[in-house]
Amino acid sequence: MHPENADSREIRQRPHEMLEGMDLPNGWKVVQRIDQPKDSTGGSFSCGYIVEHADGRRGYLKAFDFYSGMMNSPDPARVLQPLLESFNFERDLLDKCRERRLSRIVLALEHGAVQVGDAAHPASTVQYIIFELAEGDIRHQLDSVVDFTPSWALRVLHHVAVGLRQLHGIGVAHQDLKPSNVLQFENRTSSKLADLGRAAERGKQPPHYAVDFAGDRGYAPPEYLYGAGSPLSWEQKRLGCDIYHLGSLLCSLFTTVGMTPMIMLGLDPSLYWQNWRGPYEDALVFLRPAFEDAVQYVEGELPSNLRNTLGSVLRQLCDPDPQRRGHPLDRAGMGSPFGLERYISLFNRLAVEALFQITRIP
Amino acid sequence: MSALTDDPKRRTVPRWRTFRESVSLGQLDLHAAKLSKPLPDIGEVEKAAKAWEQHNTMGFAGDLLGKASVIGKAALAHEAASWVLEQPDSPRSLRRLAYRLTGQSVASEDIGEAVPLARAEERHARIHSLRRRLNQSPLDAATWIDLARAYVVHGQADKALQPVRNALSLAPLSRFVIRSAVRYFLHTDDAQRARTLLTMCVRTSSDPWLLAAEVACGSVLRRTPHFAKRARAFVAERKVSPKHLSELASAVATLELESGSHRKARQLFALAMLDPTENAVAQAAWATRQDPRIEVPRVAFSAPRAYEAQSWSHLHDQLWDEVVGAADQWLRDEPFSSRPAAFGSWAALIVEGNFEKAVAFSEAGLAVHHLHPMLLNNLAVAFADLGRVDRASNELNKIQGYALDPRTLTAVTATRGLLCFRAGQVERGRNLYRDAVELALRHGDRLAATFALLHLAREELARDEQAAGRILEETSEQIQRLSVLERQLAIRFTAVSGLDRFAVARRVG
Repeated sequence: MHPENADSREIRQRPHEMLEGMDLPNGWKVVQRIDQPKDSTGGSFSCGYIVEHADGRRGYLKAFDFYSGMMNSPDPARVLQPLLESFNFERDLLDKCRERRLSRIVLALEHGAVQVGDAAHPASTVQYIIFELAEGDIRHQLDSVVDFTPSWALRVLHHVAVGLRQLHGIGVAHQDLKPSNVLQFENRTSSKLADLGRAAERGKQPPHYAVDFAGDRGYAPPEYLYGAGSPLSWEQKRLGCDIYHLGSLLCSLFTTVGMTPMIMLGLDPSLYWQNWRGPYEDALVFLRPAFEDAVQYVEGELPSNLRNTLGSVLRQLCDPDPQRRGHPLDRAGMGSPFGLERYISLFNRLAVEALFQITRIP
Repeated sequence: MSALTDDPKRRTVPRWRTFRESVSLGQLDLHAAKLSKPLPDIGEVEKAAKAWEQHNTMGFAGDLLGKASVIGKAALAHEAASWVLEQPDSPRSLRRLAYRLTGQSVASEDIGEAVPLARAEERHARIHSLRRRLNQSPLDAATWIDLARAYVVHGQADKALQPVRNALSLAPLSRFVIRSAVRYFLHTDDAQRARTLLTMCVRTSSDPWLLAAEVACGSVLRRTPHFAKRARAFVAERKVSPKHLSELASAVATLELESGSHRKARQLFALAMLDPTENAVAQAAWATRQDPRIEVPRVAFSAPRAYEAQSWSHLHDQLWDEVVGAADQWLRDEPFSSRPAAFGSWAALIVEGNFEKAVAFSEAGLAVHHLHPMLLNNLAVAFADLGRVDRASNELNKIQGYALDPRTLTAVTATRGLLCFRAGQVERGRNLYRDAVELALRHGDRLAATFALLHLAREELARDEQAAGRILEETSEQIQRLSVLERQLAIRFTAVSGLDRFAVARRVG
């Protein structure tokens, strides 16, 4: 095919893909592009770069492309609006996290815009956010016999629980906690929560929450898959989802599989969420036995000294009924039924015990 | 002597299976329109597949397989699943997921257990494991029902009441829970409570499975079902799939049959057979024995777990070697019911001449129905034939003091004759057999009279062949008056008991 006849959209590089080597304001320099699949944020596209600051700090830059989807649309404003709203929502949230110095959240170091090419063209302005640079997510460590130890897994859980607690403290629910969103720092001894693009903030309605659940369906709590999201309170929906995800992460850390697929494994295909047509109360009748099967299966893969404790934690965190999720003492008391303090101290204690191998039960 | 007992009035009462079995038979899925709106597809599986291609590690494979299994894009994870299965050290959970996604069976690694019923220790172990499970998961209504069923199977129906109550309070609208509870109350002869449960439930009028149960309960109580009109309308509307309508159509057909509307009954049974449940097939097969014009298509007998219908069908088709096997399956499917045990022990004695099997059937039934007269009788016959006359006498003596229906009384009287023969009291034995024949004929029960005579002939055969021949001559008159099936059964028994050496037996055959 002659180059002149080729589809210009295929061969033209989009502005947000052209940042390599550029100097950014405030002393940052774009060093290297990292391949990034289609971004999950509201259908917009993004790509990632490694950036370095003049003072030696390194960061991860996420550059956004809002305009390519708009160009071919008959109603560009309607396409653009939710993308910009989502971006602004995440950026504001990251600012809020930074202001509150949330130590277990991957924070934005900077955000801004840079001109690429023709300044008169709106698409030439590339919005970006620079995050702390991580060593990778925890999926890398799940199958390594050397790297994976119970104490490491428990420390990850501890740090993630702290991160969730910090978010909940400022009225934010993460909603998309999964192994790929738990990033590792400091030679993989420290974990932080990343990607607030799907988060929910009390009193705000970002565009991605036109649906009940905007996170990854592969890790979605069963009430979202089976359609029980609407009648629940904000806490039950959002905080309940987060603590389910925390339990699911526990499951992933020790088995490589999240809780939702484990539950699905115990279900007859006729009862899969895609085929289910009834109310959620009816679904609970078959989800409960499948859930108990899943927990017992996970317990079989846990170290024997942690089996009973973590089995109970899983039952509390991932209960299929969001109204029965959380620690029983928190549910019975005056505090938040979705409080994480008990789990934070439990994971911390277990991590320390596992590290020094001073567990009482051999 | 054992006697064949058929239900004079069979109803489409709900089957009571374990939760897992009920799910596998598709009895929990709903017929209504989908309520929930689907979550948007944001390309999670595609992203995970791309990440796995880049990294090729177990952590990424777990991410991809999990998403593919939940979201349903198995093809994208096929390669990763195969890779996981090739790795010798892949985690067990991930292997299960990989098996599921590649369409391979996970039965060998599946959770849960088969249902061992043969021994009391196994039944007790099942109860123990369910209780332990409920300690961990006390809100699990389905497991409470499974526990109740395990108690009933263990012969402790009274202990099952609290688990049934617990399940009803946890899931008062669940079809599985309500139907199981209804069956429990019917089992404990509390049909009124079963009916009240159904009439009070807000969902009964809109759920064909619950409507079918309500119609059956009304029939058990000999009252017009509360929802009879609604049930008829539901069937007439045909708004739900034939599978969901099968049991209800069968229940309404039985109502029509009872009220003499045979034409309507035939039409409704035909509707019930479009995509039948095994209960509907068994009901239609029973109805065929009442009205031969009701047709059950052959294909219906291959419905999953149609063991009851198959037992009777094999009997009618003279597939003698198949009858006891089907009855065994039926008993495993409904271990708390006396009917498969009574049928199986009778078939083992009469059709197969297998006394050990007859003992097994009878003992399995007696574990639940401790003093069931026909099961005690069959057990006594089997022990007598195995040469354990004292044990046989003990079992038969347990029947004393119970009011028996004529056919059971005939069988018990004949069995007493058998025991006298085996104890050397020949004359008393003859008299008792003659009493049994007389009793049967007095009630117009030619089949029982014939079998009493055949059993007498069998006992005489060991002592006096000529006497046995004379009795067979006498029996041949009775045999001629039997229906085709009954005649075939009598002839089968002559073969099983060695009486077919006589010319008269061969002539009748």
